[in-house]
Amino acid sequence: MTVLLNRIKARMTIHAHRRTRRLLDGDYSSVFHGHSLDFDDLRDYIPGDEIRDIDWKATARHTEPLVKRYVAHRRHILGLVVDTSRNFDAVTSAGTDKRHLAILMAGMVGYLAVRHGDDVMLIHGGADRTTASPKKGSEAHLEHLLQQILAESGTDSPGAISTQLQWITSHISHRMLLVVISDQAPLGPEEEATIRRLRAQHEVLWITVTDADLAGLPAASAPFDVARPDHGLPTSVMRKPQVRQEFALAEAARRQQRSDLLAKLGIAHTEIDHPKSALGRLHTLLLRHRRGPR
Amino acid sequence: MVLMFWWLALILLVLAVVAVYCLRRPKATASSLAVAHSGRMTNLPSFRRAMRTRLTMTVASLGVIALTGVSALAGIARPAWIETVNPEKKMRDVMLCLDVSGSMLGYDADLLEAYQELVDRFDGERIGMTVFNATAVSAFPLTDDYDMVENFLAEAEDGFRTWGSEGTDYSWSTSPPNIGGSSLIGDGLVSCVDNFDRKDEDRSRSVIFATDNMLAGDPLFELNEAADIAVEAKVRVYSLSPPSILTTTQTKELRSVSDRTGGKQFDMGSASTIDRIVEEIQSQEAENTPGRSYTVVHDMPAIPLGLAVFGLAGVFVLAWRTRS
Repeated sequence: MTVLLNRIKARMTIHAHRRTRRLLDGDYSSVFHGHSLDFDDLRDYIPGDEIRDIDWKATARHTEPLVKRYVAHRRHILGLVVDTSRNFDAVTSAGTDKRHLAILMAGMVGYLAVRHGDDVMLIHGGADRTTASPKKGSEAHLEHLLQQILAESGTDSPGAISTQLQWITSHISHRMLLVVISDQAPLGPEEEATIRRLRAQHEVLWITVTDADLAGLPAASAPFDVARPDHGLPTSVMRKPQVRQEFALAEAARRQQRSDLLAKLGIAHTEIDHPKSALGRLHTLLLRHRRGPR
Repeated sequence: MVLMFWWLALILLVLAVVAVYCLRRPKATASSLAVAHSGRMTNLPSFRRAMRTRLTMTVASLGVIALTGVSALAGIARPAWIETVNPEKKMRDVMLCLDVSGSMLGYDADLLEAYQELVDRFDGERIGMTVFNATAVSAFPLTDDYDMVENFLAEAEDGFRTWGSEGTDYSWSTSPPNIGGSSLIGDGLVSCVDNFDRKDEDRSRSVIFATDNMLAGDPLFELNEAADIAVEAKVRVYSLSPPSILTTTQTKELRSVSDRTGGKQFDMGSASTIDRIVEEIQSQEAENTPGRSYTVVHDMPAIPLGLAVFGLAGVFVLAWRTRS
């Protein structure tokens, strides 16, 4: 039954050898800031753990470095916030499927959380509705969540990540680690206010699945917008040099604006376009979050 | 202006419509590439400009193609100007032969008015006028320039109405002092007959001979001799004489001359005389020169086919521009 998750686990082990996987565990465990004083136990040091968590005295008595674990670390909630609208039935800038890439990213983070003993919940939907799952910490539950993302394939709901973010502000009262998986939909002042509000309460990480480079599509691909399936997009016009140039400039400006906005709000952000780079980007994201400007 | 093969053009038009309908490109299928947020592209000013340019080019191409097609079809439909040619009228010569002797001066103005009416009824015939008294003068040669003819006739009528003070005065020029006598009827008729041109052509020739046949002097040709010459030249003489109780002998002589040449004698006077003369002359002439009218088709392919050639060049240029 755990088809999707198995595939993700396989990818995590095949594409990155063991060390990296453990590296990720460390990345993940250090995501949460603010240490409780309730010492729980000691465990082996994993690269990526905070240096200050190392229990030097215990380490001195032991052959391996040991880190302290606190009670507050034990049971966190990971909220996967995923845009599952029709906009994700499209291709990324690398030509791969956006929905599967979103599932991969959600699955990787979710798997790290489950391994870490945390609960995972999914908040997903489009502009018109938001669906939230219960919080559970099993792999079967995670698989179920990923299947939900997949099940939204072919939906005709338009996308707006701010709908999900607003739902969280009004429905979730406890602290969570939020991993937002969105695409290149523009982030305006309204979104900025919502994110600022969320940021005050939760740890937020942002993954942007980049959209197709419209100026670089091959002529034979017969592209169309998922919002208007009956109308093709004219590749011959989109590939004109002056159009291409203007598109590249506008795209760069939008990207910069998004990065700047998220950086200003103190949110770690990464862009992803292909499953190949998923693991590396996730590592970068977690690292950025730990070192993030705040 | 008619389209001779309009049905062919219609068939080709229907075929073209069917071909376009069958060969049009199928719509993009679901197997094509799905992208999101195309507004990133479609809201760019340069994209909108390029799309507008493409729309303009497409409309222009369609217009040129449609114009070319329509022009070609119009050429195929064979536009033509159909003309019905009636050769007998073109082959008719009518000589107005007017006696301007003293005895006729009272009638001449009316006669010229009558002539003008006659000219109005003619269509295609060539008309000439010769005036005579002691000698004959060609007022104008045979011509189909009716405007000129009417000008001359109007001028001459003025001349007779005002006794020569206005318009053209023929009285003086036709009675030179070195020639004795006046109203030399036979000589006048011979002159009129002699004024026909293109004698080698087989044309219908008739003389409208307006005279009272009051001879005064010693003519070179007697009227009968003149009639012989007219018969020999195959000229029909329609004589037109003012009504007079005193001149019955002269009228009879005129009638016999007309009859011999195959023409007819008319009395001037009633308003219907002109109608009768025209009808008589035309029916007489129709009997005498039976011919059949035929149709001439003037093809006019230059404009539509020229447009089609230019359009085709335009289509090639546009196709080349679109490809590159």
